[in-house]
Amino acid sequence: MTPERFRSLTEAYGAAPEHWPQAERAAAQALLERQDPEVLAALASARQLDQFLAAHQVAQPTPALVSRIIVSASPASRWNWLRCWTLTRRPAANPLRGWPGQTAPSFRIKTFAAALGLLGVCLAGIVTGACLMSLPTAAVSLPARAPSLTELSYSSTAFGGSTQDWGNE
Amino acid sequence: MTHEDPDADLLARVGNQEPDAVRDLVARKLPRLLSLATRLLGDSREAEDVAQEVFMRIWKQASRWQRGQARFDTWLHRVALNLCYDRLRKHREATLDEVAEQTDPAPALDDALIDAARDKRVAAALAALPARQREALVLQYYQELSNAQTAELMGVTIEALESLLTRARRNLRQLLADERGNYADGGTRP
Repeated sequence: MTPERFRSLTEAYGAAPEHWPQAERAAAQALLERQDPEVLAALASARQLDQFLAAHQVAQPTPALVSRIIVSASPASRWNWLRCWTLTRRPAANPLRGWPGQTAPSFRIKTFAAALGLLGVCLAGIVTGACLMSLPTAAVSLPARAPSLTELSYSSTAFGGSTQDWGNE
Repeated sequence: MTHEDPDADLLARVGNQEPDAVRDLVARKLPRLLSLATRLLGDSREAEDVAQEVFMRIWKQASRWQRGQARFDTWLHRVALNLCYDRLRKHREATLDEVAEQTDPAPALDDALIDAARDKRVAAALAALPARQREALVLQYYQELSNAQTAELMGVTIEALESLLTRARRNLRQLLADERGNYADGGTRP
């Protein structure tokens, strides 16, 4: 290897031999051992720039970022927007605890239970509303004698039964 | 690639949704990925977004990864590079302005401040490099990829890579010329 090639090498790859092309590494180091002033000057110049480059430090990943990324590995988090919404609002200390065996299914169970509860509340509201609607009518049309269970038929609902009773009055 | 991919086993476990493997992969890859994105974008928040996006793609692809077809680390760098360049294309002016604002020429009072100032100056100099030169330098020097890997990622020959690196370092030297005079031998500003 010539000193010119050595200079080209260090100008491209820097002063660290491990960055030099493997095919030329041995020849370059052999040249260095001869202590040629031109070669040493090229190496010193490259090393100086390496030191400046090394001064540029990048911050390590924050625990929050690590946590977000690990959570994103959960299969459920990739298809369930509701899950993403929930997790971004209450980041767990150990977001992968139990994943995938526990976290995702338990979340689905909780979501299903919540939906079921909401549906139950709605149904209860509808039934209650219907009962309340029927109460005034029933109060007005309450027969003198309440029909026995054996008298109940399709015509003895709150509406059908009361019509017959009015006729009797 | 015919060489054994050192990440292949871990990736297979990630594909099987093993939590330990997920944690290991994040620990193994995230720091370098974040360094790459930070140095290319000059913005730590955007770099975090890129890192998250890359990992989302890993989670989606892990179960379908085929051994021997590509080296995982190379694929990872390619995805990250593409995402970085998407963002650079969208926010080029804003990003460069932000980095330029970080070059505070205030006099340094002690070693810590000198180091911090030098760090910012190097960051600004890197940001000022043409994109391909910066990419070559970041991949080869900071990411410590081999010349062959770097050339493959960039889609250039080894000779073209060497030319890019030479120009990158020459430009950096010029950009940092003032700093060399003041700090190279551990001296302080007058």
